Amino acid sequence: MTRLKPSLYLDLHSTSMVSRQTLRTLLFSPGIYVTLSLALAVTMLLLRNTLGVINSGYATVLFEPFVTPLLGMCILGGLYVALVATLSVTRERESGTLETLFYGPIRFHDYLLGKQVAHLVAYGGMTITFLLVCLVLAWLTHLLLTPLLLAIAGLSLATTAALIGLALWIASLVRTTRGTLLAFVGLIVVVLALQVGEASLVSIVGSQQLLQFVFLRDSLIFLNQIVNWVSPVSYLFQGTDAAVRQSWGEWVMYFLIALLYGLVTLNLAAVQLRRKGVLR
Amino acid sequence: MSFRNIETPAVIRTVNLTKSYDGRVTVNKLNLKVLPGEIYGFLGPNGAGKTTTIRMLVGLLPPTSGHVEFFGHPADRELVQIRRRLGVVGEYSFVYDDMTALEYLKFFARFYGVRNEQKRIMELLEQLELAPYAQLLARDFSQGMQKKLSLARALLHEPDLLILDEPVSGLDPYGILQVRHVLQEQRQAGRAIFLSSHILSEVERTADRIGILNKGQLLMEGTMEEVRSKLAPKMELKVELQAPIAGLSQRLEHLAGVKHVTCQERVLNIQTETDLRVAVSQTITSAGGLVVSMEAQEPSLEDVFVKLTEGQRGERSNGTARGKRAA
Amino acid sequence: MKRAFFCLVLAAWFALTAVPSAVHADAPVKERQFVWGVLASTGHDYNGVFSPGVAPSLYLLAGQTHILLPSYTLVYYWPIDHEYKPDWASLNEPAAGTVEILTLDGRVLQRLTSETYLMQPVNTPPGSPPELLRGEQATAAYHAYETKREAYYASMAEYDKKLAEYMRQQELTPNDTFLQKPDPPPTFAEFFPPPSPGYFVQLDPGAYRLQLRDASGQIVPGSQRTLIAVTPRQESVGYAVIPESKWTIPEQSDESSEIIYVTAQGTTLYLEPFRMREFNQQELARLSNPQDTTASPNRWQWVQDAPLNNVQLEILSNGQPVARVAKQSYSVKQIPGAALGYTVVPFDASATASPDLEAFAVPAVAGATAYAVRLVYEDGIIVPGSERSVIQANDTLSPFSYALIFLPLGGGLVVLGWRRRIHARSLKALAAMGG
Repeated sequence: MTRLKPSLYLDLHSTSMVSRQTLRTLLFSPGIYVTLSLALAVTMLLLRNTLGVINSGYATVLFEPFVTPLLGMCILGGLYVALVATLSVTRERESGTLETLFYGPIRFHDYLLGKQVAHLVAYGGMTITFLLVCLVLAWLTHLLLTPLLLAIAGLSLATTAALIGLALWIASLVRTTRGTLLAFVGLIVVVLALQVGEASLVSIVGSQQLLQFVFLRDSLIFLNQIVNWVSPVSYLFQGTDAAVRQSWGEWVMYFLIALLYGLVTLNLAAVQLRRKGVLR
Repeated sequence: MSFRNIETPAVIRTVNLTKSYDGRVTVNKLNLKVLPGEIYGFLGPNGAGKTTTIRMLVGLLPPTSGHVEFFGHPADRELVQIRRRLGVVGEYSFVYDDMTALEYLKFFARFYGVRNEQKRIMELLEQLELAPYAQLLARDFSQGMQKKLSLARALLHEPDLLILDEPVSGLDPYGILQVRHVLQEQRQAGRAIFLSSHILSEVERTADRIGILNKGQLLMEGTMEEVRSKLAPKMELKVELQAPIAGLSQRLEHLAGVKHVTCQERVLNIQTETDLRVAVSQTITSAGGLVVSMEAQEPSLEDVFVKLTEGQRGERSNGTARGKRAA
Repeated sequence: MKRAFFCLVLAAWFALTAVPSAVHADAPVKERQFVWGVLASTGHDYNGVFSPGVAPSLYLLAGQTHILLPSYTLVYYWPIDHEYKPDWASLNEPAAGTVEILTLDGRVLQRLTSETYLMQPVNTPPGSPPELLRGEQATAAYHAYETKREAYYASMAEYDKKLAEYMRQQELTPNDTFLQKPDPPPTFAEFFPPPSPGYFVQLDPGAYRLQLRDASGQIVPGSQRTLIAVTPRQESVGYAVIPESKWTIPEQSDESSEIIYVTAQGTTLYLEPFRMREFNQQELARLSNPQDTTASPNRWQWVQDAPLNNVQLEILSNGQPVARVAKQSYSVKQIPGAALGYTVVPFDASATASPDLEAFAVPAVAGATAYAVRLVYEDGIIVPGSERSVIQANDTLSPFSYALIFLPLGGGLVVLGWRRRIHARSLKALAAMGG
């Protein structure tokens, strides 16, 4: 009789196998390269504008010019890997390869953790590449690039882990690829609409004194306060704000909350996947 | 040939295994046992619950009640470790779109922790005649090739138990031969095989014991001889006479060992418990008849299967008895 | 069903949002009401704040002394501003009692009794906070003022008499050279408002409850409020950044994370430092108007405070101080003739009445594309939050920069092209084998 191996070895090994296979699939798909190029294109546009503003004004006071592009990259890259993560689970279930995988010695937690790790590594690679390109751009333009960007990038790893956890939970709840896509994109649209709506109304009510919108504005502010608790992207913004103010205790708090968020959603996903099963 | 070791625990044992959906029972208190080193054929008509049973065995579906044991270990507590000793081929072959056959097998070899993975992979590919296709994308394989690839995957880690759902579906005759050969090799190596298939002739040829499932219930379990003897007569004689003889049927029915005689003009169908060809010939001759031809047939697995399940279906199955022809 | 529900929601929204905007053409209805008036300190000034019953919270700056003025007045709704207003002229009746400051769970922290106070803005130097006198000091100061005022009136009356006599004598003896016109008494420019009753309060940051308890021990109806002692989230040093080439359009730098970029050619910068404090936008607005609903609780705002004095500016290159400059006054002189432009020159009091700029001049540092500035006290201690980087940026992005966009795409094409070759080979091989 074959000796059964201890469970810790199984956990790390299975997770590592799933993660390597998923990373391989990610690297062999065009999305990751297109997303990164898109982020760089937006960065160029912003930097071009920045230089234009500087050169038209003799002296210009600006916040760090690479922070906004980096935040854009973190959001774009984070949403992309989260979307791909959620689709990869539902596609594997629909195509039956998930069933094949679960003929083997693997737990639901191992599988989902492997997915999360793979997508996080891909995101990390994108971010590092982006930062290196920013380094080159900073050298070319003499625009300042400070360690603040490292703090933002570091925090974004935790918030992206949270985003991926949330995406995996969605995948475990919804059986079909189309349903998953609709749910994920729908969530993003709703959150975006709430935040853009609030920003617009705050501006309108404040600047134009249109007081009939105060109730709507306050409703959106209240809803956004809830969103700020459940949206990993809001932790990124709040943590960035804390880093700018050099309030490192707050930064660490947001980092840990985001990590915890990722772990909790991963667990929820595992429980749900066990309930719903891996069959087509 | 079956191999039994009464002291070794069964490789699979189900205890009142039940699955129901919204009150509809798909598998009902299934109690089966697969012994070490044997090939167990698991049969049943469409919708009998075979695939549901297999899914419960491998842990893809939680049972409503009852439990499963592998090698004496409860599956609900130790399934992940037990899966290291299982090799499973599902009804459909699912492969990763972007992997070549070699990459596919390498992935699973590493997944199961196979040592000397390259050597093992090439061995299996050669055995299943997939070596020329090793560098090609698995998604471009035909259905039969994908089935063989799945079998190779299941065998990579030399499992103690193989669970196969329709392992030869989609294969050409050469493929079927290859798979049969592989299964025989595995049995000789001491591995148990749990095999579910619609191709009754293949199960009849390879299985040591069979279990027949219908409407979620295990109707019968045992060796081929045990099953045949319980359900069907040992032999059926088809005798063609030169001319019909009145009263011959009654005289033949009085012979010891004759179960039933039907007569249609010059053709007699005689079901006997033993080989009574000599006695029947003598009886016909003494009645003044002349035997033009005599065929002896043993009931096939298909006969048994149909007989067992047709009552459950509530309608007679079509077709006459077919099976092995004896000289 | 769904459509009906949607219409209902829409109608409810319109009803809720339309009500406050209704404008009435007739005179506003005035109602006698208990209100809180506050002389609220901003740190260097006092603002009058009005808190009617509709404003459930009162906001005060933590750590400063404020004067609470519980009163009865006539309150009316003014639809143009969408606010409730007091009619002090018609009714201004101080409410007597004991002011209680409690924690949110009801524990009494402070009990305040009424004191007289006197605020004297007129005699204080410009830009400095008004003089606030309280209790005996206020009474004594006002009494002294009254005495001086009476003395002035008396001397003015005496002067009037003497002047009238002089005029009469002059008419009688116009050529009398010994007749002397009387001198008027020195101008009396002081003004002290009469002392008023008020309740002095100073609070640590946090939330409290406020109420007035009358002589019988009952809480005065309408006097309960939530009291928020506001503190800035952070403090910093801000600068007005005035480039020599465009002094009419200064930039503002509020915090040290901001960077001052100058063009590649470099320019002299004139920096005027201020203390800056960052407040929550809604709290800031409600410090002066508790009824404000337009400011957002989700935004933060920098507020300029007093200018920084008694400091010098250090210029750093590669992290090391290379120069120290003092604040000076400057004038802007238009270049004469048809040429456009101006120059900034040191202020000359004999030539110009007042300077155009009082700032630190930071010339472009030769050979350096980046340098930094910071403020230091006379003893050399750095003023926290005063650091700023000054960077000379390049004019434009080079073409090579744009090529970087395609770097990931190039890598992707290589990887995907390699996999596609495997797939093509796969199909070809299978076709050849008849698979």
